Amino acid sequence: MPNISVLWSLFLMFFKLGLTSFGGGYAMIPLMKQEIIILITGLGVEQSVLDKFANLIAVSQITPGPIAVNAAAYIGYICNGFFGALISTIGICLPAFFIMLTIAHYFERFKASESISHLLTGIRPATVGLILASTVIFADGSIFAKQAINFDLIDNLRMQFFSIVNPAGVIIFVVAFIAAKKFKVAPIPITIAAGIAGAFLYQLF
Amino acid sequence: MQEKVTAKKLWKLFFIFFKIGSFTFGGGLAMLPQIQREIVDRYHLLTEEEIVDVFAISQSVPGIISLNASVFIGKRSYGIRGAIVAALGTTIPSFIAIMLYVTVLNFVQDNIYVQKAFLGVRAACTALILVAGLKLWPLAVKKPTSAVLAIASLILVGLFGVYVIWVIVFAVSLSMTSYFLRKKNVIGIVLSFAVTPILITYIFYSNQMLNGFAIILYLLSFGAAHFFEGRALKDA
Repeated sequence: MPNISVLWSLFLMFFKLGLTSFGGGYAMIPLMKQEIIILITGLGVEQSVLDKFANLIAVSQITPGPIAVNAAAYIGYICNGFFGALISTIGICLPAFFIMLTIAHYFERFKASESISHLLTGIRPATVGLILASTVIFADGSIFAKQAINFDLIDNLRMQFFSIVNPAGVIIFVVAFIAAKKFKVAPIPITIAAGIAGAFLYQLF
Repeated sequence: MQEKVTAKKLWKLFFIFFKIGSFTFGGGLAMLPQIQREIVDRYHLLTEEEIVDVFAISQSVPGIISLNASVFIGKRSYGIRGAIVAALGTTIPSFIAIMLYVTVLNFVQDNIYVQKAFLGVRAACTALILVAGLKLWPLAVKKPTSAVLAIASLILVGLFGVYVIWVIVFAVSLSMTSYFLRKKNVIGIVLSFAVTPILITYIFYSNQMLNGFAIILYLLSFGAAHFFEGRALKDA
């Protein structure tokens, strides 16, 4: 059964995400994780949602379409079934829809504005930082052996520097990095190969 | 936009975006070249120059990049109905795919091999995102102050877990302040910097000491970078 209060918070959460995330799907992930933690503590949504969240990027890579829509539908579904998915997707799309309608209307003036272009040069570096920060989320548990990064400094320092890295994760990470950076292999073959490799390599370690 | 918008044209627009949405994997950025090929080369809805502007704007306003682009193209081609149709065409395939996916996953998620496969994909995606981030670095980071913003937001969010919206608000406030500093516009400087003490007070008030101290460090390092950048400019 759809739970109205959870649906409403899902809508608000994804509306906020759509409104404040610059730079597309990857840059959205750190904020998404923080918002989900708030949702879990505030509404008593199951803790297992957070574990499933870690698989989010895997899901987004092997399903077509924009990562943010995939993410919203997936998270909405694991929180509150089909209606959760629907509401979350609408929530994340609405801000972009209205913002772009406005800009398309005042296009010429928007393009010429000097202060807006300066504003964007300030946001862009922060966006790159956020994209790099989302690697931390996915390295956690896959490359690092334990759930090392909890968004809590003390826990973080202790766990991160003393936890053992997982050799299987390191091998897959290095191979995928070289394949993507040096040989320009497309994401889909890398994702599939890593899935197959992971199914066997992680059994060993 | 003088030509009459018919239902047939709207359906066509819907299917263009539906097709792009169903066959492009790897997120919004991968969709842009496909959009360009269909909209400019095949259906001539926009010109080459227009699409470059559209992509630049889609990437610089908040929200989903490919959705931004499709709403813009829809609005420019067939008005508000075009925008709605294009947005639906982009999102529906991705939504359906996720629904199919979770249905299948319900049957296999307890399988140990499936769980380990997910771990493998996560490790590979860490590498993929890192590559994507490094590719953007030279485009976005051209000054020492930008480098400080990028590295500081990585450390603040990735290690300290500072709330992302604050990082963005401070990045906006700092870049506007430095813009008005260059213009020597006192009212602008005061207004764009005013947000800083207010937010820091709020962060400390809501008892998030660690976040507060992290953000103060962030501001100091940005100020230092700005100072040295100014000195380097003067020397040159």
